[in-house]
Amino acid sequence: MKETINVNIGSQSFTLDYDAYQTLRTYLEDVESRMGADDKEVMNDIENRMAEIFREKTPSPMMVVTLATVRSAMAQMGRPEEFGERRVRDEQFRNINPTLDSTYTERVFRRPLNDRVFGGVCAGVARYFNTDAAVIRLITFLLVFFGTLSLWVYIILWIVMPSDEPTKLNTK
Amino acid sequence: MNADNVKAQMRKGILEYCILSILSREDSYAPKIIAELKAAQMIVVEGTLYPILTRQKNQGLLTYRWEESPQGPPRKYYSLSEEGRRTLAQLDESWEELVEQVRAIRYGKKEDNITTVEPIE
Repeated sequence: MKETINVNIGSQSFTLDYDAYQTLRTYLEDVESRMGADDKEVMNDIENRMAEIFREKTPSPMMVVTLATVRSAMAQMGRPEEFGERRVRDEQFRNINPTLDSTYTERVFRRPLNDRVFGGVCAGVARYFNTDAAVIRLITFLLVFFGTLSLWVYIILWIVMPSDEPTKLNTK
Repeated sequence: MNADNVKAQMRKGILEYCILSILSREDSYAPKIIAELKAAQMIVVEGTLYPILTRQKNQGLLTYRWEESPQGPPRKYYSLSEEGRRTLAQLDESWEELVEQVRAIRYGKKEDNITTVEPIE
C-alpha cells in the first residue's frame, strides 16, 4: 500500500504516488529557478507537456502516476541543467533551497572599506539589497537635499553599521 | 571533451533557424516540432525547445493559436508570422553564405588568389 496525492498539472487532475510527487515537484522547482522572471509561460508549456506525457503513459485516468513514469517524463524533458544556470529570483526561493544555490551569498549589513565615498553607508546598503551603490547614493542625495531624509540618519547609520573587518575585505 | 562542447554550441546556434524552417513548411505544435528535430538529431531533450519558442513568439517571429486535439487538452499551434518569414529568408541566405565560407576555408577558394599554393596532383 502506498500513499498517493492528487495534483493539478496543466489544468488536468492526476493522482501521483507520493514519491513520484516529490520528485516531480523538486524537478519543476529546479527548472523554474533557472528561468527568467517573465518565463511563466515557458513553465506553463513545460507543465502542459508533462501532463501530456503522463496521459500517454498511464493507460487510464484512474491509474496512479508512478515514480518510474515521472522519471521517464523528466528524461524526455531534459535535466534541469539544460535550462541554463540557476538564477536567484527572490528571497522566498533562497529560503527554500539555501544549500542548493551556489550563487547565494550571505547578506551582510556592513560598511565596505574599499568602496566608499564618506562612511560607506550607501555602499553597505547597496550591497545588502544587491544593487549598485551609485543608485543608492543618488537616492540618498536627492532625499537629503530635496526630500525629508535627515542627514542624521546617515550619521547614525555610519555609527551603527559595523564596518567590514580588514581581514574580511572583499577580494573580488 | 572539447569537440563535444563546440558541437553543442554549433547546434544551439542553428536550432532557432531550424525551428523557423520547420514552421515555414506547416504550422505545428511543440511535440511535433520536437519529433522532427529529434529525427534530424538536432536535439535530444524536449525542454530546451520551450524557452526558444516563447522567445521567438515574444520577438514577433511566431504566433500561436489553441487548437483542439483528438486526444487530451487543446494544443498550442505555432505559425510563422510575416516578420518570421522575412527573418527566415535572411537566415536562409546567411546559411548559404556560411556553408560557402566554410567550404572555401576548408578546401581553398575557387578563384584562388593565393599564388603560392599549387594544386596537388
